[in-house]
Amino acid sequence: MKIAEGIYLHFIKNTKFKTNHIKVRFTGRRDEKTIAKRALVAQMMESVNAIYTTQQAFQKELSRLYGASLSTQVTTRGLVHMVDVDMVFVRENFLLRDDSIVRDCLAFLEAALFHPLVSVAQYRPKNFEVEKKNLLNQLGADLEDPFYAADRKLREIYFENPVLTYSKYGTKELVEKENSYTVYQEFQKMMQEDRVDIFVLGEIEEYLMVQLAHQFPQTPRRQALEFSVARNYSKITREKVESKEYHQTLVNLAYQLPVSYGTDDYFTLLVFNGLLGGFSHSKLFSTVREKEGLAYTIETSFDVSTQLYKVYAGIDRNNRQRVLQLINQQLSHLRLGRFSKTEIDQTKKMLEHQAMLAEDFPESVLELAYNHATMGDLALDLDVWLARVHQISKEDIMRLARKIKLQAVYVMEGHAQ
Amino acid sequence: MKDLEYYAYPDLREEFYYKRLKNGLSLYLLPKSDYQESYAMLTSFSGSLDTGLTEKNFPEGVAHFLEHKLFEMSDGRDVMQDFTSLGADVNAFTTFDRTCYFFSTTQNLIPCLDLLQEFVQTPYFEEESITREQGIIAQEIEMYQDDPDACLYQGVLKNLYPNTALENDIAGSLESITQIDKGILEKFYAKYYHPSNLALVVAGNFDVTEVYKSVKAKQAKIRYKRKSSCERAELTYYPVIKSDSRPMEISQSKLAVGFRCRTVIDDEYLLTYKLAIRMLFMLLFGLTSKRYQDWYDSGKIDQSFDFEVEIGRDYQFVVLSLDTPEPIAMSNRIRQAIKHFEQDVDVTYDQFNDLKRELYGDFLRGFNSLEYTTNQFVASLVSGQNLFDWLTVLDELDFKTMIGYGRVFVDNMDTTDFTLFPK
Repeated sequence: MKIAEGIYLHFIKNTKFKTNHIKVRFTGRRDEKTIAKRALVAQMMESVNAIYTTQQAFQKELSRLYGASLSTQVTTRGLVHMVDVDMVFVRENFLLRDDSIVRDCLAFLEAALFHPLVSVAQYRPKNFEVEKKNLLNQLGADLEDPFYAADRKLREIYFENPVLTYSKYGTKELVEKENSYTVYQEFQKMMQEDRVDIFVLGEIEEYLMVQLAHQFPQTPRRQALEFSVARNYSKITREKVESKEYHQTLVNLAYQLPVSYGTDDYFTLLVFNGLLGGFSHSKLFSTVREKEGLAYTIETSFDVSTQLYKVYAGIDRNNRQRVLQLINQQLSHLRLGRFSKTEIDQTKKMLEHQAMLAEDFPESVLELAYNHATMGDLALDLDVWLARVHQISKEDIMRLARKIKLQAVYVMEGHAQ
Repeated sequence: MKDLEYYAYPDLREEFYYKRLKNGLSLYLLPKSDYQESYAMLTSFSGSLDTGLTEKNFPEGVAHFLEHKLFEMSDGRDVMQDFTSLGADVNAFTTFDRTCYFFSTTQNLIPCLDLLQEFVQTPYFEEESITREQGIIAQEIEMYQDDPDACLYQGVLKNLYPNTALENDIAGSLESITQIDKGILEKFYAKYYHPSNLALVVAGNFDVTEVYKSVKAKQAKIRYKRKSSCERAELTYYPVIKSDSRPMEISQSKLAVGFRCRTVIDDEYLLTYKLAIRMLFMLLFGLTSKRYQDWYDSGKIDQSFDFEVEIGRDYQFVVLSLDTPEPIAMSNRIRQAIKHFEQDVDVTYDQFNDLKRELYGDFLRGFNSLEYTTNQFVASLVSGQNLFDWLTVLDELDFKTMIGYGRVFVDNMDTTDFTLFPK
């Protein structure tokens, strides 16, 4: 349902879950100037507002509403930045005694969205400073996870566009520069200019949601949104080795992935990735871990929206050459067609399983709905999607394997005693 | 199905079937017809604590090691491959008191169930592959050693339960895993994997009769050794290590305050006791408390503040963990708050009732996920209850009882803290 240009309301009727889910997603640009501001807006929205002026009051109301939750989430895709406000609450027919909470929950969501805690054109400074410090702490704490820290380093050497190397919250430096005025301005800008999608999963009366949607400024939103961004192939493979006080050594490889969402290559990629590293029967898992006993973690992941394919493993420092050699060897097996029909079939079956499971999780149902809303015909229904996967041949996989080129290697070498 | 005991919870739109099979295995079936997925978990009620706590008959990490090794079949093949061919995901995990093997499928439930029982109940160990597994598990242990939150938790447990199996990672240590060989795995298996020490829980989209018949038939074919005693040796309570700390590559200090309680609670009241302690800590330190608000506003804590209540038959402890600029002062504040909980502004009858509503909502929400439901179901079996008993316990728990159990806990507790500080 189109409320205005760029404001959409989507209903997904569903009674299999015990909860109702509302997701309000703001979609805007992933830009160096705004990324930290947007992360701070998200942080403010889930903490306090003009109605619930302290976190305690905010949380007490949620507790009273049968443990409803209101949380925000920040994600990126290509050059697009998304801020989600998620409200989840128990469906009426499961409540004790003839209680009703739908209207109270919607009022709560409304407060979070439309009634920020402001004092003269800025977020109330005291609360803002607390949340800013919190976000800074979190940025520091995130980097304490060696796998995450290594991944960030890999991105720094793989991407040329700086904004793609930042976390979804921006960087420490960017967050530090912001204040209660600049972030509040960004909030107003999001309200006016972002694409807004409201997803309703469960049983909530339509008119209640339409009323809520109409509270957004009915301005047309016509930002060009780039859901994917290309990266230039480089003839040089960049390498970096750093020494850290860790027990494990982490090897991280980045490959250029010239594939776009929804194309034939995209479906080939799904099968290719399953064969190489996505599952327990995959080449890397069965060689590096099961056969050679060199790693506990050996995984792959990909992001077509930024053309990045990754392989990473946690190993003993002394096995680094051997592991890199094995990764290379397995990839070349895929290029040369050294894999069986059984392996392809297993992979397709696993992909089918994953795709069918999506219907059992509210989060993935909502994400699929967003894909349909933004990707149009490229987002397929399950049966068409499955048919496309099943069409992929051995030759397709070999062809794609040859297109995927190593571009960056980052090694975090562990030297703990 | 006449053979099966049937339990229905119409208000929740949930139900389950139960049967204890001839060989002693407990079977629980939770049909959920509107799901695509079927999820099954076969559990042995043995875990990292089963080393023979006092005499340490087994090297630490043996339960976890066995978990890894059971995936290997007699012809050397890896059973994961077979699950993959069926389009199913399989995995396992080990806790203090249980080891769980599980799969998720959308298409081939019966063959997957057969396979699950087959691989868990047909042990096969090969010397050479045991050596290889030591390499894999060594990496797993080192991964936890590099994770500050895992180190913090392990550090505080070591303070609370020195010289017991709880002081080490569930996976054991780099030294202990080298002591594990074929003989030890076989001995451990014989002791703890008798069908009477196993439970199979299946949730999802299936026909109850069909699944029941297939499990019954499969179990009739499985061979097992005579039952041996698998009573867990009692945990030895050495004096707690009052405080400890060590440096690590982190940006801000991490503090864990641990409370160990030693008291005997009848099985019948264990769930009530557990809920009471959890609610008490939620009232004192949860997001709705004035204390949390004050500490948060003044920058003493941030969103990392969290606590965990672990109450089982063999152990009772609570751990609060936080990133904080002032670990020593915070440790004191936390200890004081617990000691004087009866006078606390947040421990009120009204807030207690709101919290009950919140927990009821959380409980319902859990049913959205088959994986979560099955996990919780198995976790409550460990303390001899079924998942839905919890709802009755929640309904019946009153404020006064919670205060009473809180007193029991506080009067019998020892306290410690463990700090990681930046290098």
